[in-house]
Amino acid sequence: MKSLKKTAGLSAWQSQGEQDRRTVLHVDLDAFFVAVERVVNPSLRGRPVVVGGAPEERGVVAAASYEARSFGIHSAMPMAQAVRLCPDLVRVRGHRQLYGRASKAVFRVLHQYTPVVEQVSIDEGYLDLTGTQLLFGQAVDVAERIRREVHERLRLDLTVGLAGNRLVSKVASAFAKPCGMFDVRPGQEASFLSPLPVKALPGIGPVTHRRLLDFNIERLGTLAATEAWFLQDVFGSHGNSMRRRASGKDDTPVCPAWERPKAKSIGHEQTFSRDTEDHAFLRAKLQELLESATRRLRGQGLLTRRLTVKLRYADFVSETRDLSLPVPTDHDAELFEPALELLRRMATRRTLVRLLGIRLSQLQRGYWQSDFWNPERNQERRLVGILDQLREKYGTTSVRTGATVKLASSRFTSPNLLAPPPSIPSGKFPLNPKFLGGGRGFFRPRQKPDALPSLTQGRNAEPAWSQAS
Amino acid sequence: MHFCVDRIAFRDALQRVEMAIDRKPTRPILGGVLVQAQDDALILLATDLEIAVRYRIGDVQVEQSGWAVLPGKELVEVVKDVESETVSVQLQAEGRCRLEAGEDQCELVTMESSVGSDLDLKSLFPEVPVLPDQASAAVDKATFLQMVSSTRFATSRVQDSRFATEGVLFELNGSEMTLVGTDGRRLACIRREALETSGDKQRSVLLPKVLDQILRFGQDEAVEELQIYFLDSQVGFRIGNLESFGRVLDGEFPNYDNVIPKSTKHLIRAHREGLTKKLRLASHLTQDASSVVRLQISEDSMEVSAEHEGRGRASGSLEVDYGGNGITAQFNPNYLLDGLKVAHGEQVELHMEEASRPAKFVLGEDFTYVVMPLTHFP
Repeated sequence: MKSLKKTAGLSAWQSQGEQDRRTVLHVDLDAFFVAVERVVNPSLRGRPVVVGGAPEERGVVAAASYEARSFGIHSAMPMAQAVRLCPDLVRVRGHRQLYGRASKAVFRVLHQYTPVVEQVSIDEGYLDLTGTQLLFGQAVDVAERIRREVHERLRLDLTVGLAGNRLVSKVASAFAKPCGMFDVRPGQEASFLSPLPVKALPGIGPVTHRRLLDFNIERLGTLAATEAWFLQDVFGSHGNSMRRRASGKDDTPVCPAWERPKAKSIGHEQTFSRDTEDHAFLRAKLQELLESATRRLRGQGLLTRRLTVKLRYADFVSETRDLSLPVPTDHDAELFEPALELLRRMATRRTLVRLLGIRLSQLQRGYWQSDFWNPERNQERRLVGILDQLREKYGTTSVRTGATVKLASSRFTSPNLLAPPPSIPSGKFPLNPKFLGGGRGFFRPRQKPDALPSLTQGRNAEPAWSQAS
Repeated sequence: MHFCVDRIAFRDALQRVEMAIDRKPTRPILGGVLVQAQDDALILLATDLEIAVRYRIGDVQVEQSGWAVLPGKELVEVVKDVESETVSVQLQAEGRCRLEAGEDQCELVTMESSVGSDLDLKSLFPEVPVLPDQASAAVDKATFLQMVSSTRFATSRVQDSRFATEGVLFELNGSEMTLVGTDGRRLACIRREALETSGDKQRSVLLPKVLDQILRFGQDEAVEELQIYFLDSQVGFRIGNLESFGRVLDGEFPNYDNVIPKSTKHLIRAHREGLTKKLRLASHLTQDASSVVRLQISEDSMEVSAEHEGRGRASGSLEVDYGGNGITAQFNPNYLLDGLKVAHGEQVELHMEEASRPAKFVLGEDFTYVVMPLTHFP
């Protein structure tokens, strides 16, 4: 309903029928990560390709080409299993930044056709084309133009679903995959959905699906024809909305970024390629996760008031701890100490650690404010802003803070405890310490991680005035 | 114990000690008020171990001296609501205390009393020091209350792990008194002369609650002078019949002097009320949780503006006395408004070094208020 209002200004030129009809386009890039890799490296074309981490590092399939999918490989599958299914599989390590750039380019194209573009993921989005007919002609033609433009300019394939609402357009594009287009004419929504299996409907997960099969409801048509009271009894309020959706009714508006509510929390977590109990490693990882989370926070101009640290042990026992900050902040240095303290309090078991995560919540808009007692924080905060810019331009790992420098070294990717301790050759460092202002004793042996100089050095030190008094 | 007292005087006295009655007492007795009747006077005392308040009512018709600890909240409310000129209070047997006020009557269960108890009062009720004759300092009451209201608002609302900034620092050096309140992002500091001092150097962090108490009730006492007593781990104030005690906060107070900027690059003089109005105008269009206003100062004028993403923007400008080549800084408007509310004169001075350094407001004679600006980093 909301988007109808938005286009009210155009309604004078539209016939009554057109006014009631929304036109929503669902756009989905085909095997996006693989497609981008193929643009960069054409030799990957026509071969079964997957993007993801190495099997020995517990990598999972992030994306699979259609050739690979024919072997039964799908995303989120463990890489080891994928390799077993298809021995000729070509594995490519992902290039996140590249995908981000490609995605931006695609959405720039989409924005030419309507301002109401909602990006739901890196490779998927909705366009509300209601009321653009006068400018660009029929929606079907626009869809085809977008497909052609993206293909010719960016060498990426798009699948497009066109319908009167979000829900049906998404089902339509899933139906048209790969590299196709499907237009559900107005009034045809229910008959289009009717023969499809119930799991084709977004919002029906494995549990609901199993439950529906128990009642012999296999097709969306059956679901739509089922009595409302029955679904209400079995699924509660979810049942009724499910029935409505199964008959192709949906009035969720397409929300462009500037209208969408802001994120409630920002989190990062990482499963280590090898379980570890090395405190220096965990500490460095914590800093790294925190840096990337706060960078996103700052990118959106937000401050956080709540910090959560998550830990998962090798036996899958998970723990989380959180704390509220006295004042909202977006500054790594103000968050790292409390985060480390949480981790310290939590990591009490003598078990290897498998995963570490960090989450910032209770977000609010605003400027970071320093306090009187740590005048150096102001300088640090300025530095952090500059680091953000550097990383934006040259990549996340282009510059590192002292605490995380060792993570760049392959020797420090969570030590294998069963292997003999590696001998550290002198003079061969991943980064020239001079660049980071260290030089002297920069890469000390592992037993003294605290001695590493850091860009945020002085944080732990007592402020100068307190020593004087 | 049996006495007859003017109801209004009794009610007002109870209101003064009410703040010290423990709402959630760890020991039941802390939820009570000790009422002592002797020598034609009534002494009320309550404490929650953080603060203690003692109040003396003179000219009371004491039929029989004695004491009782009565349930605090109930006693306060009952005396507030009974309708009569005087209230007569009499201890009964079996731990009852009878209040008679004209037609209205009330019987309260005593927590402890001088009837039927062999125990000494000292072992039953927490001991609150008796103030000596010689005070550590004597000050003009109005001056001191102004000092308190000028600093109390700036204290931290949350407990800081490092500093005792939830309290107000009180320094006594010769006859010079300094009060400082800060929450790490703003700092109010005021200095005045005492009338008379014992000459000792003193430095303690006062509990805000005791300051709130004297700020609220000190005005009503018909005396000009206020006496301050530095006791072992407490500070006592005497204003006429009112005696308030507060625990001294342990923990360090930051070195406030380092925070106050010593040099000035930009000096702006503005009309207090004009600036308040413009700040309030702009603050209506700040984001809910985090408010930011921008002060853009150019020759002879200051523009105060704010912007709310999605709601709009507001700005207003006022004439100021300034001779430099312009500066722009951002502040939390609430911090500035809080300070302007307690400013003494009609004119305020703003001293600034640069946009990212603490700004100093001079809000009166020997009254400085330092505010950390908000800095937007790219």
